[in-house]
Amino acid sequence: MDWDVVLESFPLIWKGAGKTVGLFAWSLAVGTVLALAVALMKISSAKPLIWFATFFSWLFRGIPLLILLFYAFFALPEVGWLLSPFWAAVLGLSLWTAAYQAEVIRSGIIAVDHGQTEASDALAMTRGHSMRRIIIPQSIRIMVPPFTSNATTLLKQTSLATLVTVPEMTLLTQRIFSNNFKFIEPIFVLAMIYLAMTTVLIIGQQIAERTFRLRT
Amino acid sequence: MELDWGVVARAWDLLIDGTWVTLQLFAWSLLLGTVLGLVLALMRLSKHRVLRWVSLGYVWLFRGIPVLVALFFAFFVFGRQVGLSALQAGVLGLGTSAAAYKAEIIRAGIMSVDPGQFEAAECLAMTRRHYMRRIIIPQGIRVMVPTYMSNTILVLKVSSVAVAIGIVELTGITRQLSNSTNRPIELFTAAALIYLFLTTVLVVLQEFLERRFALKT
Amino acid sequence: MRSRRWPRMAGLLFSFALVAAACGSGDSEATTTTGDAEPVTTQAAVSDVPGLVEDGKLLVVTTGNFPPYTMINADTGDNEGYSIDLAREVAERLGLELELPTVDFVAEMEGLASGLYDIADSGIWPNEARQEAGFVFSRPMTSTGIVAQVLTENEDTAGFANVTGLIIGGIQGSSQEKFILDSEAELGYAEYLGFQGAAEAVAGLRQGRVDLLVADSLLAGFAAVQNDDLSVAGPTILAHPLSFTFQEGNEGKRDAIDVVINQMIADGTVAELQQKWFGRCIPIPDDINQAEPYTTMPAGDC
Repeated sequence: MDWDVVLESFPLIWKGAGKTVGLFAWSLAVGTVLALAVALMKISSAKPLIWFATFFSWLFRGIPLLILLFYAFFALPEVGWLLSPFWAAVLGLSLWTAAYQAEVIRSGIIAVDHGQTEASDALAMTRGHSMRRIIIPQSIRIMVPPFTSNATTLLKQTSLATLVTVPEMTLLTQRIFSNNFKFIEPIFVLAMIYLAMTTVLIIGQQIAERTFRLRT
Repeated sequence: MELDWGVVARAWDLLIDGTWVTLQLFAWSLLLGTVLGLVLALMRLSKHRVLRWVSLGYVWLFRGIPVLVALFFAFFVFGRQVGLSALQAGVLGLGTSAAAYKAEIIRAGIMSVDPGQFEAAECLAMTRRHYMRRIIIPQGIRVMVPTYMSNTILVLKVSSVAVAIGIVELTGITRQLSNSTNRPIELFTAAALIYLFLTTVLVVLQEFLERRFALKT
Repeated sequence: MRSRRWPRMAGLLFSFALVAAACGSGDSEATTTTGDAEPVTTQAAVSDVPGLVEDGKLLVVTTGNFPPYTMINADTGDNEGYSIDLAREVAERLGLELELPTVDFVAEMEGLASGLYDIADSGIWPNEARQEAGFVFSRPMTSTGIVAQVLTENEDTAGFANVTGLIIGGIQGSSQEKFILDSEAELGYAEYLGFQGAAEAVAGLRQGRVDLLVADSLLAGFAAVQNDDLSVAGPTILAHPLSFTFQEGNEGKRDAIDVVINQMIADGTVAELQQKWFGRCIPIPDDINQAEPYTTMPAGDC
């Protein structure tokens, strides 16, 4: 391993970090909002909503993320919707992560002791009120580990945006080695940066878990 | 804008060829991932600190980097030294990544077994290898089945990333076809349906296995 | 658009077959055929090609995504093109069976470096970076340049001379991409998008993702002939030779193949293929480091 090449590669690859984090942040935000909607649909009592939510989960967990990305990038323009590579990737990533996070959110809400729901009904709280003040805060504690675990996976999956021409870190790494044919150093740098980012997220997860823990 | 579904019919043979490569990637990387995962899980539970640390390090590394980066390592770095074909490098990259997850799943399964079982086996002077094989692991399997199967379904879908190192599996052949015929909607929909079919088969298998291994109460 | 190609291809193939049949029966230096149909032996025989990946076979890797050098026929699924015909001719003359694996460009060069294939052959420029990386090159078998590929409505624009604020597309890992990225400061374009291959790049141009493509000039010329909506804008720049590429250390294999290429140039086979696929004759430099074999793309027939 030539450490000079490692030092040279780092700034070139780091230039893509902004796009990587941008893809991650936007997809997490949009995906979580979608996931919340789908989760609420799934636990509602309206049959069509339940059906739609089930279909959504089955569809977007049943096909590979890459197919979603290719769809957004190659197929959507054919029906007139031309998204830039970045937004096409965000669309694909959001739908994909929403399907998984919806399950996390739903399990979190369901796991809260049924007694809590009954108690708030007995106190004549509206469903919306009890959701907001009783159920969801407790659910969050349960959701934190699987949610951040999915978020960490989402961060890593942003690397697939390289296949739809988004200049994030992985694509910039490919540019380096397809030019100078030095592979080990740039790939090593790329791996180290991802490792640093995911480790930060894992630490964030520990902090979140501690913040939301039961105070006994 | 009109759709021409005939293009799927004409391309069907090539799509099946691609699906076959996907299944090969899936099967081999699942095998590698499971075997390596089992070894890593046992290492993590061993008395020797070095083994525990190596296993921990492996899992941290391979869960911390994207599968695409593991594939790059396997193909451009490791494969070049050893002369691996793209398919072999693909299996190596996918399998080593999967192993990190399988290791955690297997370890959780083993740890879920009541410690009393371990003590009882030791009282009966069974060797560790004996009781792991005959008492602990079979019980652990029941716990492992759901997470193992959902991770397995993931391995199938992640095989699509092999496109990046030039392996022509289902996603790769679909992209080539979509380019040469200019019909992305029809072709990617067909590929999506094939994947949905395969993953649904696996989900059905998962439910069957969960029922089969359930405690008979 | 596609249906126009077939009558012409069929006609060219037929005339080429006639020419090849005529050439094959008399020109070579060693033994000629007698009453039985014995294969014509040439100066470079099978035993003269060292280091083949698989005995008796010539593994020539291409992308299938770089017309007219290599492209996948949508109907038959066959790989065809200038590079393919050259490879076929070389394999035949050496008495080897031809195999044509198809991968993306980055995987092509990498697979070659790993020793998976004998030759990489999809219009590869034997530039300094690649030579330094250890790749071995045959003598040139054609030359080409770089040009701006655009939609026909923009064919009167100045090409690379004025690209400020535009979005440029290209093929990831290609020498055209390297040129554009290296010239970022001088050209002042807004953004560059690197696609996986030529077909994706053209789709991007048509969908409006990019304003122009930095393309191989023969590829762009071929596309302009095949498609009413595609053209070139501005002059061809940076003309350079193209060669077969070999793994590091394969000088022996390269020398054996060079003998065959020289024969093919001498007996006019290469000129035939150029006429068939490019519609013109292009000067073929002898030296892989020949700078600018020409300044404007030659236009006439051979």
